[in-house]
Amino acid sequence: MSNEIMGMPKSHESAALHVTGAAQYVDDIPLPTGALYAAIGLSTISSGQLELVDLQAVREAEQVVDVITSIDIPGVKDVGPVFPGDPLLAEERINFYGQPIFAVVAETEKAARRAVTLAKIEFQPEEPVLTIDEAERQQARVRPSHRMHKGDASQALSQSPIQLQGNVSIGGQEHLYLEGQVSVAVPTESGGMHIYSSTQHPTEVQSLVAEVLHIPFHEVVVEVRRMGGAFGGKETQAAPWACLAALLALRTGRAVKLRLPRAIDMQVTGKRHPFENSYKVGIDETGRIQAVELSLNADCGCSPDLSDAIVDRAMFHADNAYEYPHARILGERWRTNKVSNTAFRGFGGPQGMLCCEAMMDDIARHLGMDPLDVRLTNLYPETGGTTPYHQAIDGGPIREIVKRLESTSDYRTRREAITQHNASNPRVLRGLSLTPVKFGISFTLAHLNQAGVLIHIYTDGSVLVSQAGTEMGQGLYTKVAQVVASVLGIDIANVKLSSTRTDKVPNSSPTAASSGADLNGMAAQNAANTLKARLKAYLSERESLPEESFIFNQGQIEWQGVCQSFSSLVEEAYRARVQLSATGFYKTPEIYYDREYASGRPFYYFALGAACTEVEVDRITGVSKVRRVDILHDCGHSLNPAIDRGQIEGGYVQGLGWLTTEQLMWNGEGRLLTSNPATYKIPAISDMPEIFNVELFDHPNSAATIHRSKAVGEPPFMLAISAWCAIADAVASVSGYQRSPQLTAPATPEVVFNAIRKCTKE
Amino acid sequence: MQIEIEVKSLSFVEYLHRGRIYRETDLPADLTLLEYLRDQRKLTGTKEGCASGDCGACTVVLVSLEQGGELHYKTVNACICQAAEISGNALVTVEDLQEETGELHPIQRSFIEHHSSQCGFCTPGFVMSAFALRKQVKDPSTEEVLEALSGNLCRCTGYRPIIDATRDPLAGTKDSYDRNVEQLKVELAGIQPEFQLVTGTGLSQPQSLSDLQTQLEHWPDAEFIAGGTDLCLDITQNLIAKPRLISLTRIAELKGIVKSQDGRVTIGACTTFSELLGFARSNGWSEFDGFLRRIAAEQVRNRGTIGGNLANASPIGDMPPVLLALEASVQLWSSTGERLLPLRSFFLSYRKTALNPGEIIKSISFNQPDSGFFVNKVSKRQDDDISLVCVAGSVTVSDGKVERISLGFGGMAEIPKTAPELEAFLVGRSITLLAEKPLADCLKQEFSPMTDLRGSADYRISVTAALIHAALNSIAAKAVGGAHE
Repeated sequence: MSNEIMGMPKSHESAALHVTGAAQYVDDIPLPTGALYAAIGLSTISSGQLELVDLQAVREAEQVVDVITSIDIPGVKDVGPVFPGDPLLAEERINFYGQPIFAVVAETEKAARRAVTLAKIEFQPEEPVLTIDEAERQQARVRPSHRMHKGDASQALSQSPIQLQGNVSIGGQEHLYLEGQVSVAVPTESGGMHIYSSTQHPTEVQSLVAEVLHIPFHEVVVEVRRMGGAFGGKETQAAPWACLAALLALRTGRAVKLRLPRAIDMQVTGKRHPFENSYKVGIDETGRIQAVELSLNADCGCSPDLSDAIVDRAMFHADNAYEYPHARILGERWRTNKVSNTAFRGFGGPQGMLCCEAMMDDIARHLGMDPLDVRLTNLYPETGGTTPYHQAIDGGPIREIVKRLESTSDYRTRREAITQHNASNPRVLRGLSLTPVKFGISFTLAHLNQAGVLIHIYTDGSVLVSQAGTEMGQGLYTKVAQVVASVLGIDIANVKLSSTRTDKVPNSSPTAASSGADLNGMAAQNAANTLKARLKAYLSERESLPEESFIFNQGQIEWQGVCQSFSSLVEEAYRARVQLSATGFYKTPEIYYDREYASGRPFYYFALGAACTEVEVDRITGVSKVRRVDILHDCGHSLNPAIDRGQIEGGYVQGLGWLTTEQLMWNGEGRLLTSNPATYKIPAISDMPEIFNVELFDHPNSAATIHRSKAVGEPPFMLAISAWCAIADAVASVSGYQRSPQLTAPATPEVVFNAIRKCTKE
Repeated sequence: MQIEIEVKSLSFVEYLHRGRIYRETDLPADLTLLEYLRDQRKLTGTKEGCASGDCGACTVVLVSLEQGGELHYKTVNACICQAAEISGNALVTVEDLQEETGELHPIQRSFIEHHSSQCGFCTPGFVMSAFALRKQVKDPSTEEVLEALSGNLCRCTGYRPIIDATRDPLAGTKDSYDRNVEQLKVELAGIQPEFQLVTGTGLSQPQSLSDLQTQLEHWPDAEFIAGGTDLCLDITQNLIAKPRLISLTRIAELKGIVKSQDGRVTIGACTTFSELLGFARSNGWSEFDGFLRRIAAEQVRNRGTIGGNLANASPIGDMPPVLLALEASVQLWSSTGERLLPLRSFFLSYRKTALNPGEIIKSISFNQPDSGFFVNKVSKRQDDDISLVCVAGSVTVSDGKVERISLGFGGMAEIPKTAPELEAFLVGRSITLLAEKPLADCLKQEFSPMTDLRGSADYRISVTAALIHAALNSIAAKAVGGAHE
């Protein structure tokens, strides 16, 4: 493969469209004449029964064309992605505040939204379950408990010289993709639908729309050019709006757009799962862990959605990068009367990992050690480590990353300076922490680890690539274009990625689990290789030379000092009736997992990284600020260092938001109070670390991935755990580092203020 | 055939766009600029992220001709700006930056070179904020970039490449706007609006108090809008129709800032936050300046007015605590006359003020903040957030004791409030001997704050006590330091 394209910091393929405003999102697509606009009516209780739904006034409102409730759904009424539990429109039972009950379609968006307010709905409310504690008391689960075992944890724990326990309360997170949920449904001549949706999972939208309308899958095309951010929030959460738009389009015979206003979007779509985690750990006097018992308790909201896999992933990451000789990990999926929680960058991993890192800090403070030393003591051994789910792991690379970052971040010197600074009883405390990340790459549901690509070469030499993955800003299209251009030896400008469409590549997996470039990059490489082989075979016959003689490079094919341009070759090949279109397919090898015994190799490989964060904390107010971050992150042999750096920095800051300013608040009735960006605060520009050093750990992946790269979408999110630990470190300083502060996540000013006061008093 | 004769107000709005004068008649008062751009003009480069002025995805730039004849580039959130309000301005949207040759604007090139976009949805807004900044500030510092872009949210990049792109000298390269300054001035001078009486529905924009009087004769019950950064939320979030609005922002008598010899400052009620920020900076009011910088974000500060903030009477509004501490008074105007009221008597109950129907705030006077002035706003996020609590004070210290103090509080009660009992408690006290606990006890006597999404009642009390305690100590220390000089 040509190295002039692979591994180069190519610009995002849409960058020029982004900066000029020309990039089209679903809401920007010009609609056919007569298009209508939809809006949804919601429940105003969290739990209970629908008593009366009187939509007379809604139907009679100005410009209203149609109104639907559950009884108007011709096909499947439940759009649960894996397990049932997500009615498209409520039938009788209400399970969360904001649950959609009806939909209206009108001539204008304003008319539809105003008409919604005219509904008369009466409920018979019941006492909602709003906390994990209450769900546990009632033993209310969306899915059964699941356990992982390694060795005999309880015996090893009881024999450990020192035993500690603790718990961490972890908040959820709203995705706050800048582009909200939106779908347009355009009816086709044969009773089908063309859907434009902002979704990470076009195939699932296709199948659900078909099932709701009770038509075959081949009548539905779902098309996604790009999303204005997704982060997991458009994996399952985009489908209901596409289904409603489609149903209204089917009934009216007109195109229908359903775009959720921000405050409604935030109420009716799932979020990152809040967790209540606890640990018991047995250690020796050097801080070496002997045994761990962990209990991970997720607030799944009202339905299963993807919670089974999400809590599993929390369990898979409750070891982070550390060897537990004996471990017992329990994962609980609690049911509450809240919107069903869903995928969000990291997919449970961050919540498992945060508990683990809090435990490391607690061990350090108990023993009066530097937390970094406790971490180094417990990192997986160079070779021969085993995870709690019995996957073999060599700790060499993560140890190398941590040690190198310790040195490049000047950790030890700064640790000393900070300890001295804090000893002078200043108003502004400082804290420092260095934490590793080990993140398992592959869908834990094995069959999703596949992708298909379709490539056309046209006779002018231009190339069109359709693939299964969706573009949400992560740069997947750019990376796939790099792969294809590199195989064919042509300029990247000659490779165009078409929108992602279910009629081009069928039966696709969601673009999730950081897998986009791994799966689609490989499938694209396979397809491009097929085409290249056909061209070489043609050349070989024409020139009577072996196929190896032909080198594809910089838009030319060279052999024995002769040159032919790629475009003239394809023109000629076309005339010689060489097929210039090919598909490519890829499935991840070597992975297997027996969930019953919680044992196997669920991950093809691990993505690694480490971050060192320094914070300052105002002890008067509890306000914290990141002063400096040093990151060393492992992207394998990076496909595109500029894009990967963007994922690392963006992931870190998004993680920082989760752990500091982003606080979801509900009232006693289960209504989300923080339902807009005025009340729910994601990081703004001044939250960016003042000093932000990012380095790629440029080592080829030992697994045979595309270009030996590593997935980079989710793993950097968890680098921000170092910021939370650094805040805890600053707070602990008020007790001379003798006590572990009771810090919850997010560590808002109030949380930090209380932790400081408690740490001072104790 | 029946001929229907409709009496129309014939109100029209003229603005410049791409070198052309656009003349729109009868724009509805509650039509937002974002709706106008996306739905009517089909200009979809400007995005809706929140429709509440919190994300900046809809940022556009308005170019106006200032008093001194200079051009002023300012960002606004199109989602919370009335379409009709752009009258007399040149509008610049993200679609307008490219040269006619198709060449990208230097800022656009800089954003591409620095890999500043990922999903791209926030990018048009950032590009516009960066564009306005680079027009106003030749070589911006990082702090100036942060200030100008703090109203734009990005969920993908973590901001680093956006800051780099905005600071890059490339982004300041001359563009067609620089080359056509004189022409733009002439064109803008040609479309300066005059008052038009609106008799049907629409947005009335009086230019003077006498125009306002005329308009009020026709619309005695019309709602006033003074920037509209909060009022617009009624329209976009609560779907309330507002067929008749009177915009106060063009009334000459409501503009301007004057400082008298004795240090009393008087500002027109329609002074924007940005104008006050500029004045605070030029007067070296550093504490006040730092606080103003944390009020909303630039797009909102460019539209929001001090009078609007007071009349809105939110218990968590930013200006009331500060102005209470600075012993402000408000001059009120109605068609029947004027009256002066201390700000302490202005807030009556939750979002209710002493303003009578048809009455407006004309001006606000307050003491110039001196070295005894302090203000602290606590919120979850530093940029563009609403106060959990805000406490401001003006104190005179003598011999280590509090000689005189006036305090203002936000987020502690249903209205912005003072704390007379606490003030009485503090006067005469030695600051070094003052503990935090009695302060908190006093605050508990005076306030029963709420526990809400921003924070708990306990935290509100405790952090306020801690902040007053810290501020008094710091001012006392400064006073001692000053005495030694």
